Amino acid sequence: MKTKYLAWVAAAVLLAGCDSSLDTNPTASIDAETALGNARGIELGLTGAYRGLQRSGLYNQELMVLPDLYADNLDFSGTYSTHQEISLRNVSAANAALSDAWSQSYAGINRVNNVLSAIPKVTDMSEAAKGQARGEGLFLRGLFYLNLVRYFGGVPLVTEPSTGVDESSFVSRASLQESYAFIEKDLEEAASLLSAARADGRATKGAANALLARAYLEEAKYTQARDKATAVIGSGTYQLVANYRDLFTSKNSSESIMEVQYSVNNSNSQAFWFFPQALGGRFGYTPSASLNSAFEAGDTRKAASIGTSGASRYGNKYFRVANGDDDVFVVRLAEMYLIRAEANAQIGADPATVRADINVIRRRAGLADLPTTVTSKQALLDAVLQERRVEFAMEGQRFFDLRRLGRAQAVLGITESRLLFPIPQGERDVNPNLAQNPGY
Amino acid sequence: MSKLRWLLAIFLAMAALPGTGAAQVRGAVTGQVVETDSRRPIQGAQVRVAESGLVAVTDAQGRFQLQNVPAGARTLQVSRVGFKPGSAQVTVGATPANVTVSLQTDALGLEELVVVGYGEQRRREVAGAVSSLRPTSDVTVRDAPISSVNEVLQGRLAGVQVFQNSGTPGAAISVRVRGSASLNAGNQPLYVVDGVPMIQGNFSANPQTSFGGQGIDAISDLNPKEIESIEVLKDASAAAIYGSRASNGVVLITTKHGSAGRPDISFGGYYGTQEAWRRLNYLNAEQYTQVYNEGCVNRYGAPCVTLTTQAAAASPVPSSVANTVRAVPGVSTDWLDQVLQTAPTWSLDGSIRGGTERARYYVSGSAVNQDGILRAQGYQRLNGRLNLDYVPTTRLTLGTNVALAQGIMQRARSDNTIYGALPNAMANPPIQPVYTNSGDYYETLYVNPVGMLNESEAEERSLRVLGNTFARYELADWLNIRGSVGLDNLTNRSRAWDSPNFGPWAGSGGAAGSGTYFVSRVTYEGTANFNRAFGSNHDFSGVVGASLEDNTQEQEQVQGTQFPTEFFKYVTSAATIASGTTTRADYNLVSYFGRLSYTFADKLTTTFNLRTDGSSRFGANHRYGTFPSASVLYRLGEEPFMQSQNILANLALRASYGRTGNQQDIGNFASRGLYGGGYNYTDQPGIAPSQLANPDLRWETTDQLNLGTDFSVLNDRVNFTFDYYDKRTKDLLVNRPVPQTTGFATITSNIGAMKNVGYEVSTRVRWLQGSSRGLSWSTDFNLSHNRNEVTELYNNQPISSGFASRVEVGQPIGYFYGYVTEGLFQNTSEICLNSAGGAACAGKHAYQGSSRTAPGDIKFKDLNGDGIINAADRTKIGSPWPDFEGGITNTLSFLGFDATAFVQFSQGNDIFNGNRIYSDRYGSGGDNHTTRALQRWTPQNTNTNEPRAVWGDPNLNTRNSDRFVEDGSYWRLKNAVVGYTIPTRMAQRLSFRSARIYVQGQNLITHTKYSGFDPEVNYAGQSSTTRGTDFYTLPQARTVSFGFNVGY
Repeated sequence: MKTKYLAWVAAAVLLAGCDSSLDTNPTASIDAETALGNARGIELGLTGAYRGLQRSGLYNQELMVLPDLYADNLDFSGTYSTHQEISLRNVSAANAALSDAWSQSYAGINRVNNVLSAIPKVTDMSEAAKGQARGEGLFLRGLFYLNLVRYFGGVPLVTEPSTGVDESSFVSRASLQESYAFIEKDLEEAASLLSAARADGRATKGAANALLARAYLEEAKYTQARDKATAVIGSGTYQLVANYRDLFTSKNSSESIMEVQYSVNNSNSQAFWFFPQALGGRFGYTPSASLNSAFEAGDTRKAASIGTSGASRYGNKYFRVANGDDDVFVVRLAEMYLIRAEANAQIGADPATVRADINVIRRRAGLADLPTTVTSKQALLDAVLQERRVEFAMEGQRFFDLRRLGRAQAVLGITESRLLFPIPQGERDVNPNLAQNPGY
Repeated sequence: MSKLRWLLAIFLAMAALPGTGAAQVRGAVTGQVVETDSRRPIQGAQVRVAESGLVAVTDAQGRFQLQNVPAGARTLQVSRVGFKPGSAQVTVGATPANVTVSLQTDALGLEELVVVGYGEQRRREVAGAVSSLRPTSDVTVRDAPISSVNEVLQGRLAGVQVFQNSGTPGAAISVRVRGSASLNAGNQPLYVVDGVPMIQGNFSANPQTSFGGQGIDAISDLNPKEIESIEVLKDASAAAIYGSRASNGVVLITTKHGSAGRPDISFGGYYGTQEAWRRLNYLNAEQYTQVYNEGCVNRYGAPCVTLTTQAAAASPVPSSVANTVRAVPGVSTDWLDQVLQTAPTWSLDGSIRGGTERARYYVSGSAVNQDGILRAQGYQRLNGRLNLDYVPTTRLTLGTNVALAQGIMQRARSDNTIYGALPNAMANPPIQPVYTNSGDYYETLYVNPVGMLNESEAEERSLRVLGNTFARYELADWLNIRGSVGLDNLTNRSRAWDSPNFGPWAGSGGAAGSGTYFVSRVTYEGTANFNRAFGSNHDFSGVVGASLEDNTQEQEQVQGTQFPTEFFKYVTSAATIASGTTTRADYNLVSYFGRLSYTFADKLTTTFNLRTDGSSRFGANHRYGTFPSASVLYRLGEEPFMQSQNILANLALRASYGRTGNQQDIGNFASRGLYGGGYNYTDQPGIAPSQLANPDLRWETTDQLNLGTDFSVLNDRVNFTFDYYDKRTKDLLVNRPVPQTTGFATITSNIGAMKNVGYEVSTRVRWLQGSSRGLSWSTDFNLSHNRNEVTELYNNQPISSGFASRVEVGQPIGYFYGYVTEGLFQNTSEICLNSAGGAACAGKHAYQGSSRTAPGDIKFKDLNGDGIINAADRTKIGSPWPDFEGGITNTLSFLGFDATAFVQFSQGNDIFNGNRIYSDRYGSGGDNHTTRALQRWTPQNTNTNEPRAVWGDPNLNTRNSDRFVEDGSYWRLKNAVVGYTIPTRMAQRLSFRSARIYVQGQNLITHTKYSGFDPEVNYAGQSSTTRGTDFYTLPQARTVSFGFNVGY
């Protein structure tokens, strides 16, 4: 009898030795403390930060759409109230597209901050490699912040990686000037660190300068905007493509300064949302009648931008609906010409200089030069605005152009309080330190 | 490794078995077992010779025969479910002894053995709140065309709330034991089959098809026909022995086993047809045209729907609007007719049970087939089970229970998707046809639902192996040890195909994908059960044990696009592999547990339970959790002073208190700070922070008090059980929102608390109890009331989900939140069109953002009186949780006829009818409307609550408001069965032991004020935070079936 008791006791004791089975490990993640500990980790982390550009609220969809839908380039034709609100210019603070843009931008910024803070601690990297990596990180952070600032105005400036949640996580907004100053600083340092050679889909000196030109123009720092645009044009690294449509049918063309890269394994939904159902899309929005008629006769950009299916117009810049692998422009050379034209017009430079830059863009589109009678500042700015509208339709510029040139209220019929998007309500619910934009 | 050693230990223990005893003089015993009062023979009673292991089972005449009984004075112990046990003394010698044993009917089931965690107890000693159900003895369960164990539970047990989320065949069902105790960590109970915790949850690996809330559940592989009994452990005292997984209650399922005696062969089947029990009335083409033209005139000053083929003249209506509602002349399509069907369902099942004293078996097989009332849906299942018990020596029992199941489910996109056939059939305009003149699918407003059904396939095929092997050894007559190894293994294969010839997928050249989920759980368990009496007044019983559970989940998926033609449906023919992934996750649970129960003089029972769980899911600082409980049962009815009266009998008072946990859906590594892979760019691998660390993460904790009483009156004709409970849950697992400027949206934390307080009543009344063919009538009734309240959240911030659902402190989980309507505007003087409000709007209604509000629009209440209607004017507008729910079953039998009616009801719950956000946006968007649109406001029809038709709905009449909150109360004749049992003599002439035929109806009558398809609706499936919301959800079917049961 005794042996049987012992067998039972032995069984229980053996079971008790199973504690080690509680130590299981994930198979698709690694612990945060060790992830960025060496050169390979920095490389992987930077790649992850670039990936941050590809999310739905950013270059995957909304960044190319919202500024056109909120303005007069796109009409709503879908079912989602998110986009309907944007097209009605009556945006609620709970709008999902805006909270996506907010959260996804800051997720990207956190990825960059992790990399930036890890670089100095890594021992198996050369100083040159560290400089390049830091430059790419700073470029990305500047880009994330520039997109945020154009939507929301001054935003919280987060510069350190998040490891948990404490008092310091409840940040407040910086002013618009402070925000732009921060962006300038990141991008200027990035431009000084980055290589000038072309690198498809990645940060380069030219890309940093191009973003600086865009930022300075938004800030009305016209001479800096002009100089940065000139630097990019004059670098010789980029040339306009002869045929406008080639910008979209071929990837990483000579005109591309930076475009977010997509492949079949890493796809976006631009074409899906622009295309009509008959062509396999969702048709969330459609080019407006006013955009359609904004193209002058003979403009080759019209057919390259707008297609028709039955009775419907649809945007066809992004057309790889099957695989979703259209690249999406962050910035391209044509914008540098038009930034320089606009800056020169604002500065009061020789109208011929201004027209010359605009004409570069018009000739490529198969249009005649601007009449030499276009000489007044207002007429020149009007010409820039018109040219930008048809050149960058569905590339996420229109609303910012109207706002920067003081036309948004008149053209879109909105009040001043609608010149900025609301800070996402969900974020303000969590963080009471965030002030809302006036009028929301 | 330790598992192997442990197995070895079991076999060692088994090897040390005693041999059989020396030869003795033996004799025979024959006899009969009868019912005490009626002297009717009792069939199937087990007659056991004490201390010998000899067993016989009585035949139809109640007769039994025992051979080779050791000579001398012996005690026969006789037992039968439904009767109090009896015994008789008999002297065995050379001449065969003959004895008659009479058994008393156990009307209250007090002597029945009830399965509790890791053991059994007599019902009269169970101090916890345990509800029991024997599916095969309830004809509304046995004969109804129901395929899932969760359907069996619906409406039959007090405190167990079962919601069918939709009418999708084979889809998951929501089960709540005493309300919802969790926000995010799962609310389904733990299912334990023959001692093995079952894999549960949705393991679809479909790579491309969205099914809305109508998921699948691994629980559906279980065949209710194989189940002997179901016990639901509701309070902490009963459930605490399942520790960190018991907060939502525990469903213990015991499958059928063989018993010694002649083989009992049964065979049954049914065939029936199903159809939607209700059709919604949508507008026809003429009515639709009228409403939309009115909507366009009200917005643009001109009509927009034209039924002629002429090109539209210049019109102020934007072309995008005119295109939306473009009509085909002469068409009036009833879209629901195109997708719904009358569908057959059938089932066949057979089983054999029998054996000898040494070896007993139960073998069963069944096939179920259910076509969907939505074309393209269907469910088929094959089940087989083999349960064996072998007694090699009197002290050792070896056994194995093995179940195999194959489930096949044809699915269709449903609920919250614009590609769903049912949603699109409800929403598409009647002015558009199914096909074009050339026979192609017409490009309808929402993707053509007929095309969706024909040009798309989605299927799940699951293979399930569920079983265990055990050895039980009687160390002493008061002590058993038992070792078992259980295996639950689910392989679920998902496949999807979307035709390259059809709209949404034409662009990508068709899409097809496959996925596999491989889920396995191995449970090792060792227990020692004891049961010992000291003197006549002190009974001790209980169990101690330990268990180890290994879980592995592997998933793989691949998807391809660009197919040559529609005849190629598998990825091998795809030009592009769009995605491919494989993942694996493991988690383990190590547990120690025990129960001690002490009964004094058959009157006072106290029970203590304790379990310690260690889980790999918990944070480093909380690896182990301990869950104690205690209970007291006082059988007041046994006291002499209670015996002297005969009004109240069997009075028992129960009280319990204890703690349980919940770790469902916590995430396997939720406590760790992680960098995830797959953040790739330019086809290079990348990593990114994916999760913030929380080393303090632990289980949710529920403390529950239970007070209960049982008693019977009128000579046990009526019995009552009443329970009151107070269930407090804290440390709720919440994905707590963090400022997104951190780069994260949430961190998994233990924050928040909730309580459920309620009571349950169940009663059985035996109105009439005749002899075998006389008139008998009984009624079962149960009623539950539960009040849920969220008592704490992170910073007490409300959480929104679904459409109008909200979680907020002081309110029930998932209550409805929105605007309050107060009729319609009848004239412009009430309206202020300055959408910013302010002084100019004093005394009028100003709407934030709207400058087009006009008479006929809805007047929303300015709750805070600030002169402007905005988000601050929302409040509680309803709750999805009922005040009362329950069921009533009436059973009548007379002269071989039986009739049973089971009514299930729910009272006081609201439904948010999300369909109406689109279907009641009159004259806007192109969606068809129900005939409610005919009551809309017009200058001629002002006495109404339905707003005007206007394109664009500028006043947002369809915002979430009490307009869409409807009374969801209902009562439903869930099942009615009428059967006829052929008289025994005639059956025997046909060489049957018994034979019965029946006709059955399911959902025959539904009484509800709800205007949607079906009041049993949850578009979000099993979610507790989004409850009672209808969003294009498939209704239940009404089924009429004919069936038979025969026994040999």
